[in-house]
Amino acid sequence: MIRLRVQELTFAYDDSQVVLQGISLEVAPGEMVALLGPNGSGKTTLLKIVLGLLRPHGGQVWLDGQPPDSLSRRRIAQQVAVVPQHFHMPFAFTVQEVVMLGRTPHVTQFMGGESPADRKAVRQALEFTGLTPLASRSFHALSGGERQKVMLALALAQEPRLLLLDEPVAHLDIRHQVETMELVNRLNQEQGLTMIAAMHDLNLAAQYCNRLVMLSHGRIVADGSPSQVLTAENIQGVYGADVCIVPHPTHGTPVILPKFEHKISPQPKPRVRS
Amino acid sequence: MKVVVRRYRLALILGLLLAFLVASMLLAVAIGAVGISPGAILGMIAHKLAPASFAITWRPSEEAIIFDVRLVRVAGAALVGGCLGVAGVLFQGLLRNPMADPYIIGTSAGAALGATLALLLPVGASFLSFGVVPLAAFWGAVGAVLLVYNLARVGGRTPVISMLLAGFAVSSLLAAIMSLLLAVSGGLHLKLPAVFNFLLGGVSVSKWGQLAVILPLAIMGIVLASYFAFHLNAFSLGEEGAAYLGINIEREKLFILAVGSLLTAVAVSLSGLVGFVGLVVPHALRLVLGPDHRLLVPTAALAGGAFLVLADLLARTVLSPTELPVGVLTALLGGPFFIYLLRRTRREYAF
Repeated sequence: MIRLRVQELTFAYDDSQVVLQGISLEVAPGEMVALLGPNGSGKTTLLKIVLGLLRPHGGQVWLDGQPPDSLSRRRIAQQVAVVPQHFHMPFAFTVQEVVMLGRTPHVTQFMGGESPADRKAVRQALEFTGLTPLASRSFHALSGGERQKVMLALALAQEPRLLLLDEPVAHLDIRHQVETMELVNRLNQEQGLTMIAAMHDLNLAAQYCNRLVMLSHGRIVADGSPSQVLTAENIQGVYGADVCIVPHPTHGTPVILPKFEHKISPQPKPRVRS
Repeated sequence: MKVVVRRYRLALILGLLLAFLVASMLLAVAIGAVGISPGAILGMIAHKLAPASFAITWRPSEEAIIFDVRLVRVAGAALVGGCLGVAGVLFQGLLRNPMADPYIIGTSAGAALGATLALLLPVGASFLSFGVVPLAAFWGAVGAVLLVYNLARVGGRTPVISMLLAGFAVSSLLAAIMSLLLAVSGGLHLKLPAVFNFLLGGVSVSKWGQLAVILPLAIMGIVLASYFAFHLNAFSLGEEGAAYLGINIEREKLFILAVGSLLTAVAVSLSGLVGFVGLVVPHALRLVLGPDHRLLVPTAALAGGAFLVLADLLARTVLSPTELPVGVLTALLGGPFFIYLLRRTRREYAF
């Protein structure tokens, strides 16, 4: 699996203030890292620089010792896959066809024909995500949670050595949030896939990732285990939110609860239905 | 068994469509003011291919009608339809928008303006000037498509509404410029029937020489489009999604736009502004075959050809002896279809 090294990265979009200022980070093979931070803290920008889609103004990135801008887009896509936050599919592809798109960087056949290796990778990705029964359904007929799993399967069919996830559970209900995070976790545990996930949900990040990196205004303010990073002071400082932290009843990992300023209203009386 | 079926599916579909195209062309060649039996036509073709094997049972004038009048026009129609069908697939795939069509997004108007400019140039020999027309049409198409593409794009997507508005605005502007050029150029009254035919869309191929110039360009466009069709599948995830899959999107986009413009230019230089072929044909194919562009590109070439051959046949026979411009017919068929699609997808532009 891949080793990612980022050193003294700075970046700014043309018309705005500095987005990243002096980010240094090393992710070892097999690590599962959550990138935390409020909107505009630079999480997505950092992921795009790692992919070589944005060129940093200063600093360096190495994917296994090679800077991404020295590799072709195809070469990068053979090693790094992305599960995007938003996706919109205008055509009625089946689930299997969408997952097959993940083989695009590996195509060797004339006119994009599918090789046995391509079919095998797609079959395994469908199996891993539990989508095999839905393989010939139209992508449009799926629920949001199922679509998110298809995007994960697509990224797996790419057979990456580094998986980047951008808000993988942002729009999902709690069941699909847990299911998606369980799948991602299993990938990390069973296949040792290196992962970096930009996340908004601090609690899910604390339960599933053993290393959290917290960004604020383009700088890393905390980097470590969930209990080291998710302190009331850090969350107050970065998000401006007043919280209390309690241990998870079965796992002991930190769970973040907001402090309320208002008085708790009295419990509504149970309504008697006749 | 299943694998075998899958492997030969493309060959089977292409074979069926090719047979359909050939049958449409034979039908279109056989029907006309002078009745000539299909048997005689097949005989003529066999005689052309292997002169010794077939006895001549027809008059030379019949042979002239078939080869120099009808077949050249039918072949031209097939070429135009095939090019427009493939161009439709390319633009729909790239814009991620099943409503795109060379006519609707202004590519045809750009090509027509370019072609008009070339026609008005004082170039001498007709064969030479015919080489200039597709070239000028190509650059006109490229210019128009780049303009519409950049006007219509909103944050990496091309919503239906902005694409239609940009296409309409650019088309109208280019058509007005074209009319202006024609009005101020001398001898308009002499060229009026030709110009009228050009604007309404009519297959005006009358010499094999025209096809000889155009055919290699058309084949080049279709082959290039087939070769890169699988990248269009990746583009259906959006430009960013395609980049994640290892596609050099800026380079690829220009390439696809260039090939789409080439195909449009080829079609426009043979037939003027024929609309909706690039909309109707890919749509029908997508319903039957699914949205895989690797299938859509080659099938759209064959089905588009057959579609326009039949449309042209209808256009010249339905009000016989008056000939309708084929563009009028495709608009009569395609316009309502387009409105139907717009109604069906109205959710998408209601924001």
